[in-house]
Amino acid sequence: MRTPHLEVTDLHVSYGQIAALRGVSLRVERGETVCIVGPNGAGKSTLLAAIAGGVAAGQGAVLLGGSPVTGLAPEAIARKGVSLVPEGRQIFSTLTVTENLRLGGFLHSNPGTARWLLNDLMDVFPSLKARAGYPAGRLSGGEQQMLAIARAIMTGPELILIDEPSLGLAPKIVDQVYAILAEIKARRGVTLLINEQSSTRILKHADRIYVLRGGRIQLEGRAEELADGEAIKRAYFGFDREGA
Amino acid sequence: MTQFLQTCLDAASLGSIFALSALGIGLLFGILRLANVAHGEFISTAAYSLIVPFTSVAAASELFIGKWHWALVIPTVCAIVIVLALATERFVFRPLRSASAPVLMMASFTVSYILQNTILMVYGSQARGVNLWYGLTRQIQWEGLRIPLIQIVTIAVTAVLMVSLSLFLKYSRFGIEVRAAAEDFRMARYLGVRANRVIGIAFAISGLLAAAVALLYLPQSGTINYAWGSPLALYGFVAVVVGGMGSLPGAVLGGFSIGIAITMLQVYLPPELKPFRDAFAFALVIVVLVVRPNGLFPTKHVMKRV
Ligand SMILES: Nc1ncnc2c1ncn2[C@@H]1O[C@H](COP(=O)(O)OP(=O)(O)O)[C@@H](O)[C@H]1O
Ligand SMILES: [Mg+2]
Repeated sequence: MRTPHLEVTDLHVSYGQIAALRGVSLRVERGETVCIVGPNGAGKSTLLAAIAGGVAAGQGAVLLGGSPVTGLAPEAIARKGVSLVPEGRQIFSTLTVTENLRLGGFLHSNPGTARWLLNDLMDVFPSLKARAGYPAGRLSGGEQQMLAIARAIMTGPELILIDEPSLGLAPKIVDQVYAILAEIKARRGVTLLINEQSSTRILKHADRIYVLRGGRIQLEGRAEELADGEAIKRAYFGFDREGA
Repeated sequence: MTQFLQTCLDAASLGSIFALSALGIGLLFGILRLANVAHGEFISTAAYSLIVPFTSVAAASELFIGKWHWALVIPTVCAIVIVLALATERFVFRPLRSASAPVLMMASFTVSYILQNTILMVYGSQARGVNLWYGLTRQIQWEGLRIPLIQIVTIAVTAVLMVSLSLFLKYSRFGIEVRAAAEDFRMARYLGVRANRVIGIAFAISGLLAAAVALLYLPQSGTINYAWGSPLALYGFVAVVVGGMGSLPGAVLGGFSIGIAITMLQVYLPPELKPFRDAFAFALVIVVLVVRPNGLFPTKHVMKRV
């Protein structure tokens, strides 16, 4: 079997007494789009943060291209080609749009790489180019989401982790966000791991889906196998609700 | 009118000192949520490094580094305090990186206490007269004003430091990293910003500013003791709070506001109340905080720790 791009084995994460992840295992192949679906509090954000090095794992491992990155600092994992677009975008509101983007490019040892990426992104995101000198806090929610995605790409990632890209956005804007993600995927051939609370839209975009609830993977399958949504619904709400 | 101009000049020069102190404290607070009580000892250390250690008290202390040419004194003192600041970061605050704000505060109290006692051990407990740059205390007569040269130097150096610091923060790579880290440290790290380096740079700048406070204030104060830097840091803290926690322009404006308030109280309070000047100043601070709990110049965003 080929070495997966990302492999998570038996990952446990707790916040004090609260166990957020209770033994999560998953694998993502190079170039795949995988979606994690689960209700609020399922542990989706914790899972992405643990992969990116933002929260410590109590047990288990995260492997990138077969080598463990568990316990590395987030800035070290970023240098291994992993970039996180966090829940709620977390753009730097007092920095300008350009400064937000430049920040993402500082880790390149060759400044030319960052300059090239910045110019390239300004073409992909004309709305950001038009607001380059604005404080990022003045952008609309949709523009902030675009900025967060563009900023993640500035680090030159091979794996992008995106936490609820549709959160708080109007359906039309969500379509734009997913269109951009598809374009980036086509241009750069990156691997995508996306969190969503609802599976309706993601079934169109993902290759594979994991359902996460209560800190455990409840279901895993290819998008086309799960297309009718019934199995996802059962896993999402728990088997005790079956038939309800 | 002359009297008023004279007062304004005093206020600007005292405000400069407080603003520099507040910047050093505000920078670390913005990034780390660290209220660094030891900033006062950074200032004291800068002053004490100028005189010879392990000597008994004379009328005026024998100068050590302070004897050298000023072009050598300034970089040496700055380097000493920067090394001290970096060492406290490396050996105290870095191991406590994930500790809560109260724990950090206690740690900085401890550092402050240890440094104060080290100074006591090496230089003794009595106040020491230090004649640094005696020429700067000369007064210039101008249009009926008597302006001590040191006031002009203080205001000018402060202006230069502030302009350089803001250019550095605005345009340099480190500046962008520091500002991003102050807003959301975790997110900055997800983008590859190296926590240790950004924090190290912030501590170094904080040390540099402490050295500047000491070198600018010493010629005016003339006498130092082991707690000399504490009130300067205390006013810096108050300036940070009055200015609005975490906003650097707020810290600067807070510093000048306090300098102005204290100078005005000193001049306009009736003579029998003058000894209580600082009590009035702090009462004013409390009034400001009651009316504007987020300070005079609050920032809009809420900051997060590492
Ligand atoms: N910083 C935190 N401190 C304490 N508990 C947390 C923290 N973040 C998340 N949790 C808890 O961990 C669980 C999983 O949260 P999260 O990963 O945010 O889920 P999701 O993203 O699926 O909504 C929830 O019970 C949540 O309350
Ligand atoms: Mg979440």
